[in-house]
Amino acid sequence: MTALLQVRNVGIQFGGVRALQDVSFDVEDGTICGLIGPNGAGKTTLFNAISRVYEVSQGSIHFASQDITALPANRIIGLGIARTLQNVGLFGAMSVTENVLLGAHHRLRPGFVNAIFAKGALIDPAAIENEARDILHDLGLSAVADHLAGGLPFGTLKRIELARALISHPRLLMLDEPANGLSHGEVDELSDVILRVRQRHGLTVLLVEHHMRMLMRISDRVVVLENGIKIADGTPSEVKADPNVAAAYLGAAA
Amino acid sequence: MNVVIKPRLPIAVRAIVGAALAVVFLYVIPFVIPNYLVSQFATVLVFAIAIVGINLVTGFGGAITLGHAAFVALGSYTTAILVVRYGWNPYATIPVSAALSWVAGWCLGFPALRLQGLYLALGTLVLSITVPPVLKRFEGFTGGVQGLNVGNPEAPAFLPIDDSQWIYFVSLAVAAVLYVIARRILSGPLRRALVAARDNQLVGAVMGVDRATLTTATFAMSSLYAGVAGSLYAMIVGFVSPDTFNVMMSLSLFVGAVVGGITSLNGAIVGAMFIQFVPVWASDIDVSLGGLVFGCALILTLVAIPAGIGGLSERLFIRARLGWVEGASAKRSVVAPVGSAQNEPA
Repeated sequence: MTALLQVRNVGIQFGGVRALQDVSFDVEDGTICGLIGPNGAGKTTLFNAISRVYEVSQGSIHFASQDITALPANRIIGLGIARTLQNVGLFGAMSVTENVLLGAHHRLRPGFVNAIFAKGALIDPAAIENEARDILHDLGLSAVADHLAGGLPFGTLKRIELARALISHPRLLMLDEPANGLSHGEVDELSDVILRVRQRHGLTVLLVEHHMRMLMRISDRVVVLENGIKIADGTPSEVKADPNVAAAYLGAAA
Repeated sequence: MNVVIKPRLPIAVRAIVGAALAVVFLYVIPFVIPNYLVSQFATVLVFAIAIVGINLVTGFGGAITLGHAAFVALGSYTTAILVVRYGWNPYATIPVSAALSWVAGWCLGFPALRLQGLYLALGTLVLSITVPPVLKRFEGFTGGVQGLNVGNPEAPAFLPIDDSQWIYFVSLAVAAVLYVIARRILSGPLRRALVAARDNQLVGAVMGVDRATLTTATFAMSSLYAGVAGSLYAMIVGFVSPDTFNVMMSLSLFVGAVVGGITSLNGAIVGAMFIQFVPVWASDIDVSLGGLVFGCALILTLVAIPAGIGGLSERLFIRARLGWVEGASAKRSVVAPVGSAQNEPA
């Protein structure tokens, strides 16, 4: 059986700068894959390549055996790839619930004709609203459901983004530094949340994280990038023991 | 504070507000105020329709358009030409104007998408500069500088109202239908998609919003509103001429949209009243005052109430409603610290 996500020899160039070079790895169905590397290693660039925000210069990306290398960005979520953004991509002018409902955009497929005649939508909007309420409740966000997203604490925003990703019914969930800005207690709690939603929604997770303890704890597999090149790939304990990884992080002479 | 609650008042209050509005629009304006003002109020409704179009494309589509008068002209001339040259019933021309301006909106919206912000504003400005000369050029069809005499539609004989009251009611009916349609467009999923595409293109795309199609469709919808407004305008004035649809009309519609509130559909009627009455009153005091009042009102709005009069009143309304709710359940809206109460396994 082929892996859910297959990244093959992917390279990305911005002008003369090679942000990613020849990166290949697989993410097996149902696993949690951690992606680590020093700042500027190309982790977020890789996320942007998979979600088709950046053009891929070389190589190919397959998801569920479908080539997605040349698809437009707005088609990706409908295939079952949902993501969060490093610096949170929520809309301050909308309420928390509305932000979450935006994640179901591709399921509702609103058009002008549907909106005007209030029919034609694939799914009953009320059903989606109930689903949003359940997800918010599950993530402990019921109290802020009617607040505007602007002005809420960063940790809460991260959680809202997770809720928004979940309502899209993803198969692959890509989290970009979900623990960023959280306290120690909150990080542990977030790990539990990720493990729990993975279980409940049957997800595969691709995770970028600087918080090493958390990443090593929940990942089945870890991919290490440095300067746009993959330098290690294996189980958390294998990666920890890899001298290349230690060199990349501590700057020891190789 | 950061709480949003749908501004739903108790049914009794809503019924009273609705009844008051019905009395104003169905009785006070057509039957109580002096007769010469009635057709001016019909024009107000027409401007309001056009301004709702600007609300859609600028307020929610995020595209600044200074060429709205071009689509108003398209609607007006469609009606005028069909009535004068082909003897159509004027009411039957409204759907034709709507369809034509919708198509024109699609065709122009597509390239307009590639222009961002200021460049789109300039592009549409050029559009509205181009329209009067083009209309003058095709004299045989458009009547040239002289324009076309459409005539005012007459009130049906069985109704005890005069012509200006009749056209007011026709405008009111069309405006009401278009208002409800705009409300529906701006509710639920489509509103979210529009706001997402407007405020952050990248996140919008990640969330599956096809910004190109959405913005073009919004542009087309906005043109449709302008076109219908143009149709009615031709019937109210009874006459179309190229120089009516000049840059000044585009600008004043835009000012009306800003003063009323660029994202406020209810504000459209306020903005429309502003552009219909204020310059005339100001000119009565001093001829040069008209433009000055316009400019000052625009600057004042932008500085003091960027949400516009409609937006401001909606905000006060929400705040009043909040006081209501908080009185009932004092601490419901306080943000629970994340991570405290929500750790229990579900």
